[in-house]
Amino acid sequence: MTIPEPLRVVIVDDEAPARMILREACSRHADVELVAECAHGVEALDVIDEKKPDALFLDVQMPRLTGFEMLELLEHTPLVVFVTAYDEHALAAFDVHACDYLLKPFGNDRFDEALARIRERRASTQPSPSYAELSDDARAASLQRIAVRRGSDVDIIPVTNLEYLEARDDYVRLHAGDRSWLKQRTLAWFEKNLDSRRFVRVHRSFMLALDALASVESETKDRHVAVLKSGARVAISRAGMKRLRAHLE
Amino acid sequence: MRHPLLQHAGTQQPATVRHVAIVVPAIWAVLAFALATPSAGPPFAINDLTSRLLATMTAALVLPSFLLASWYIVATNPLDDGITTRSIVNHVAAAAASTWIWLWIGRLGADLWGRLVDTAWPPERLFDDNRTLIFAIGVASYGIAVLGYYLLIAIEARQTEALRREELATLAKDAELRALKFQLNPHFLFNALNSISALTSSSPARARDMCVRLGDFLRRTLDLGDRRLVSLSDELDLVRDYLDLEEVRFEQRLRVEMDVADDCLSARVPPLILQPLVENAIKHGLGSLLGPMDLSLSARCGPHARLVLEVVNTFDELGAPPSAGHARRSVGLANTRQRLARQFGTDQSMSIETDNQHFRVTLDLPRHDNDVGEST
Repeated sequence: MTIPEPLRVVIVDDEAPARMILREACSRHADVELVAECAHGVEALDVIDEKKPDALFLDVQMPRLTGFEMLELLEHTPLVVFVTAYDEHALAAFDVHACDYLLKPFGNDRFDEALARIRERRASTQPSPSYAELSDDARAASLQRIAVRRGSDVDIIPVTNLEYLEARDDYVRLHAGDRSWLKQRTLAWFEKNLDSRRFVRVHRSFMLALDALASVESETKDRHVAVLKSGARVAISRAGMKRLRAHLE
Repeated sequence: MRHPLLQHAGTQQPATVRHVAIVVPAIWAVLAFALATPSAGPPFAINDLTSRLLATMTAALVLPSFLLASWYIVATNPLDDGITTRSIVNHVAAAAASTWIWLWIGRLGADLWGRLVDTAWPPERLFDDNRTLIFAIGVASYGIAVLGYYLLIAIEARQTEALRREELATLAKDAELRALKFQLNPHFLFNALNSISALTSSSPARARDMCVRLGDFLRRTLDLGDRRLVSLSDELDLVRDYLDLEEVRFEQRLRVEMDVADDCLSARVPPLILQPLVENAIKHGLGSLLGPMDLSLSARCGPHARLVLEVVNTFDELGAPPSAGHARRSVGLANTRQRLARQFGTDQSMSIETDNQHFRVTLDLPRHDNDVGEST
């Protein structure tokens, strides 16, 4: 008989009693090693990337970062079991290929079942998912803010603050006021997910917010530059000018 | 369609029907006397006068049955599509036919009278001498009756419509009130149960205490929710139960301060008006802050019989989860706003102020210390 490989898990929940239940449930299994408990997603980012657990028990509604947003910012991608009192996130959880979805309050049987699913998933040859890509569908419908990791902290940028976006290789630089952030996304992704009534792709490398636009200057017949209220200047391509005109009419 | 003058036989009749029933015979009594007055002949021809009266009475008695019958012509020619040629033709034909039959039956009746009494002036002469006049009266009566019936239908339709509208308005109001009524947030229950579940092994005594508090909270919610106004002290007890339960969940992260002037405790407020504000503050305040949240609740009685309630919480604008942002929060508060408007009309105000760290909701209500004179 083989001893099962120990399962290293991290608990992320902002409520202490909820963490206590998970801790107790884990302690009933000799082969489950609880490597860390975190009270919110921001704290959990560094802990998870450092400890590289096999699995997460993750709450959804947490301050600053939701469980989904936290997953998106992780470099290490463990298997995930969501633990929440809200059943309306179940579809989104399915979209990010979560192993299971535990509804609070739950009993030991249900917890053991979730654990079994984690083991099953780990044993399968399926490669671990990349949450940055998978969670797109889960969040696409309502992109209201963008979370960006900055050291061990997280910046939250409301989409309404964005003035323009600039493509940089595999990243996009987000500009708002006198600050900017690098986000690991493509400009095409933003084009798909930002409100198309407010944001226009004016160039292969630029998207801008219409309400941030002050004027358009033409350098030559086919070369235009958007001047933003902040003073920033953004190049406009010929096709971009067409799209911009269509929006402004 | 049932006959409006016959359907109420034996039951209480509506005013319009009673009026028609009085006016029609009255007109005919006047006409009968007019016709009965001798236009010529010997001054003492009493027999003649009696004879004329008999004939007129016969005519007057037969006519109403035709007028009653004309209802069925009206019923089969409704004016829903306006006046059509078809309905005009029907009515003209019916008027002519019924008048002709009336004349004929009237004359037959008069003829019978003439055979029974000995008179120099046979009663059927009334019909023979005044054929044109009687025909005109018949047609005119028919016309008046038909107009009356159409009027009656219109009035009844309008009354039914008004009644239906009133019913609809009542239904809508009921639905609105039901929708506005405080609804227990199921997630609060799930989370409270989860906390109890956590306490059962580590501290069974606290778990039991929490069960009791949860029971108290639910009982108060059900009890207060059915009343129209409750005392502020009852409302605050409920809020305290609620906060006790949430403190188990959030521990030191929830820092509550209550400042309630004693002389306000007897003031009457709509039930469960504060609890949603506090729940909202926790959801959006604690839901956005990594650290602790300060929640303060105050009640004071202002001058001019006012009651001012205030709930303030700290929050982090950027930290609120997308599903619980400002817009969502406003929805929860819009409900409170509507309830207050329904209860106190324009004699109340609810203001929301935010700066970068604080969210403040202030309710300025009329102060009632009893339920007398409360508005609906």
